[in-house]
Amino acid sequence: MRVRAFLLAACLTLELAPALLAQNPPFQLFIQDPKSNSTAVTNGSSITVSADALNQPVTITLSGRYTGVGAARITGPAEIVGSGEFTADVVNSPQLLLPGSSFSVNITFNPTITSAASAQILVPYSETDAKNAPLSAGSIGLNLLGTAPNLFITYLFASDQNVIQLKDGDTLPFPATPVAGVSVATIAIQNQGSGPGPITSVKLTGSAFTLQGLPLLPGTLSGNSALQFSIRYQPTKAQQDKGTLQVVFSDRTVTVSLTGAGTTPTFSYQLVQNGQASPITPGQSIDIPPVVLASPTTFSVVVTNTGNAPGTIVSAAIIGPGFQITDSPAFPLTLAPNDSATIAITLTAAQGGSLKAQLRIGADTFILNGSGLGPQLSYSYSNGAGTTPILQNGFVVFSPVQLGQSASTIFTIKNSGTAPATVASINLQTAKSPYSLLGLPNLPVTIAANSAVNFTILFTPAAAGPNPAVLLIDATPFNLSGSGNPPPTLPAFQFTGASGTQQPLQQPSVGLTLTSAYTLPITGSVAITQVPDGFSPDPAVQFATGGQAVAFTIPANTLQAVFPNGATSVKLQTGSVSGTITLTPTFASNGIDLTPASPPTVRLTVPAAAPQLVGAQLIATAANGFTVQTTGVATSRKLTKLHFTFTAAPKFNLASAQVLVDVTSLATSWFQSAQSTPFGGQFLITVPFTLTSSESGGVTAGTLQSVSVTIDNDLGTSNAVTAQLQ
Amino acid sequence: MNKRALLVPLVAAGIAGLPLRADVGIAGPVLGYYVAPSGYVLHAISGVAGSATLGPSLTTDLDAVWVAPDSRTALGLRGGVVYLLRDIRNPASRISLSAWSGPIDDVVWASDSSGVVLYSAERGLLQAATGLSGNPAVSREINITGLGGPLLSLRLSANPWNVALVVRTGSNVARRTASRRPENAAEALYLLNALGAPVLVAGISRPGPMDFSSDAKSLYVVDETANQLKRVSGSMGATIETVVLNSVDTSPANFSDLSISPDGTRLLIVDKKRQSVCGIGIASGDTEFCTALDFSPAGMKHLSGSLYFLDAGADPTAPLWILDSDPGRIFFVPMGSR
Repeated sequence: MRVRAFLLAACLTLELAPALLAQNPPFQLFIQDPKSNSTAVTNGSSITVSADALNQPVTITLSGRYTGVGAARITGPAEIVGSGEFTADVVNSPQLLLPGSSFSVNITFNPTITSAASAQILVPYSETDAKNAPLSAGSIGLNLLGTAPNLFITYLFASDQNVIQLKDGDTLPFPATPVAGVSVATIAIQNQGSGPGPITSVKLTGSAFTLQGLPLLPGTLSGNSALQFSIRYQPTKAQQDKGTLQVVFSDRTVTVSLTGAGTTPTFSYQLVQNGQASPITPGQSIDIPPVVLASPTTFSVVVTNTGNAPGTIVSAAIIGPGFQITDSPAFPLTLAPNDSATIAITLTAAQGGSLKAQLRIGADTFILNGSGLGPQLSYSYSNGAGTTPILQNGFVVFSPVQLGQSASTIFTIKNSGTAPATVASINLQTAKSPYSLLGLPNLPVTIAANSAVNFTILFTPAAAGPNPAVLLIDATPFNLSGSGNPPPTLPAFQFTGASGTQQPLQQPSVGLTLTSAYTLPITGSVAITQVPDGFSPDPAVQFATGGQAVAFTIPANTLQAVFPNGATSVKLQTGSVSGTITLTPTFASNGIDLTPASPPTVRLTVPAAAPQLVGAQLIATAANGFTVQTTGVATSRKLTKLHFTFTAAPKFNLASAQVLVDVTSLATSWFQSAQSTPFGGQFLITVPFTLTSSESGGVTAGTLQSVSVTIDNDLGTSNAVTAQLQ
Repeated sequence: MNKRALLVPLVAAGIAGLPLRADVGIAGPVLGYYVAPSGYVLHAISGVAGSATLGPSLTTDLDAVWVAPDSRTALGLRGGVVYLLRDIRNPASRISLSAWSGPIDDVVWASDSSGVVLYSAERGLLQAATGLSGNPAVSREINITGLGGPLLSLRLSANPWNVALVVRTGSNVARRTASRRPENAAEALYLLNALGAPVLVAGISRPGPMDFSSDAKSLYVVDETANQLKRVSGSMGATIETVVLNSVDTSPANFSDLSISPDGTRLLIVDKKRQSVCGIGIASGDTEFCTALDFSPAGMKHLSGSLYFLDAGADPTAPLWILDSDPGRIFFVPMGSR
């Protein structure tokens, strides 16, 4: 601060009366401040000396260096003319000042009042030459202006604008302030003195108080000016807050106590049941005694503002079943401190079991627990994704299932009530449904309190897309929602084994092979379609397993069809009738038809051809005859002539060995008859032969060794077969 | 020569004349008959090999019926009386043979259908009926309880109707299954020449499948201990010879059944282990055919002519498997209409 005082003093003005001063004294003058900083001054100029505070003296030094060629003397004490707050004391003055020698005078300013003090300092001197002859004489003089600050602290609140001074030890009382609200005091440090006043620091304590607008300190406050800043009070609780404001000046420290009070409304609650009141706190669970169904009970919640500020309750509401506000004041409701309001709540149980609701009064919440005395059924279903509660008409949702596969969920009926419940029926609304119910309890079933029954709903989609259905538990409906995804397309396949032209009476094998494996197990069948050339199909055209169809399976991820005999092929009979035999497959997976629209087939063709003879045998003999049976097949179901060629026994000769039997009409009748149908193109022709003789002894069949037989039709002659006749 | 010279023109004249048209008949061929497991339901097997079907059931009033290899003759049991059916399709051909007490556990025909032997396990006796194609005769009851345990195998030859039987002896007399012989079991082969007294055939310690030759003079029997096929012949089985089988793959101990072909030239064997049925020339010992099967055959039964049922087990979906021993062909008859 002294430095600033010195700098101010550097602004000098000449104000001394010229008559008292030498015109040009042979001295070079300097003013040295208390920090030994020197400044050259001229004789007669003005010097301001600023004190930091009243009664706090400040001393500067006036020194003069003789600049003449002779010798000079300070001829008397330094004289102060004017304010007595200045004093001067020559501290160094040799009797004879030779050129270059100096004298010095201390000038002390000790202010006692805040107004400026004016004075003059005069230092008499004389100058002589070498011969001691006077050269000049006079006084060295400077005008002195002494200044001092007058610093004090005030505050005001915007609410009344009253400025109140604060002294050390005073208290600055902030008004009651709502919690989280703000009160601001404007602080002013005023300098009503004649000179600048230094401010060392401003400090604040107290967590609820903060400084605002304070400049960087330390600093100097000019005279007749003020420094303003604010103290902000923001309570965080409804409590008394304290702090301090400390302002440090150069000569003193002013400490002021800060006080404030946070205010807030506080709501306290009481539960009133049956005339008995008990305190409750927000977040607390309120247990209400169980009620009989359809017999409601009422209780009250009383809310009181026990805080130190009015409070507003915006609303009151109940979220949850069973509880209802049946009486309350209008909201929003403002309660002054110590005021109360009553909210009446009624509990009504429609079914047994626990009831839980949330009571909200303003920002405060209470849990209401009650229960009804009786059964209470709730429903849920669970699968791999977890358990999902479901209400009446709700949806039991299945993830999409590929056709041919199934998904299941466990449906639970839980009795959360306090009495047993009876379920009389559980069924699907539509009998034919892609859903089935498994593991049903024996109905009617009684479900004890806090017990449950489960059953499984199996979903096997019957068609691609949505598969809706309705589950009825007694009269309570639930929607079953599942979707079917189509199965993969069947890979290409091919028949193996027999194909094309086949001879009659054959038993070839056929198989069926996929070109690539299918991921699902396949079931199927191969069906025979026979188109005979003639009248009726041949019933002998069958698979080895019997019938015109054979089932097969193709295990998942394999290629070959497996037939009932466990083999990968199945035999069939080509029969004995010309025509075509077509094998057509069908495929299914888990009941879903996978058969292509036009599945590849295999065709076997039995050609119409000349008859084939299988055998001939002698079936009866007599003394004068025998009977020959000939077995064969005519795929065209036509026969014309039967040829017998006899061979005589050894030592006998036959004059004529050929016998021709025309069987055209006989065969036609046979093949057109119903009796022939089971035999297809097969025939057994029986021809009796009678031997005639002119001899009285007769002829025996023993004269014949064998007979060879062939048979014709319009397509040719058969092979020959032979029957031994003895 | 005179006779010959005389006969030739007569014969020639006889067969040169056409049979009367009304005498020529045409029908469907029948392979034989199949007796359902019930024992009294018959089915005709319609058609020829390769294109046969099982016909509708032929209901009878019999409690049980057994069809002869000629597919014409049958034996029936009804109300404790054994009947002979000379023509299985003609009820009027039925004649009673004898009274019979209790069930009949086994019926074995001679290969020419001229005789049949019946067995009662309960009563431990055999009884035969012979001369069935002419004048039937019923033999005395032959008690075999003194021979040992249960009857394991039974065969009847053509005239003179010799009987071969195998009985269990020793401590374990449980009935032998098709696939396994009981532990500690011993077996004995007996011959009853012309239905006479049983005579033990020594030298074959463990007799297996067996059958008579068509001329009834020899019995072919497997000696399982020696793993050889033996031919027993001579009076009272005095001669036992080893039949040489030329195929190195043929192991008689693996035979589950054995039959002599109707013409007497071929030994038909069922090899369960190799799942095959083979024909072996009796004279040569050479394997003339060997046909692999889709199943393990447990045995064979003469159906008719050259045909034999092959026992494919109890699978109701399996067809009837039939061996035509000439020329060794296997074919099936669908069982869909069974």
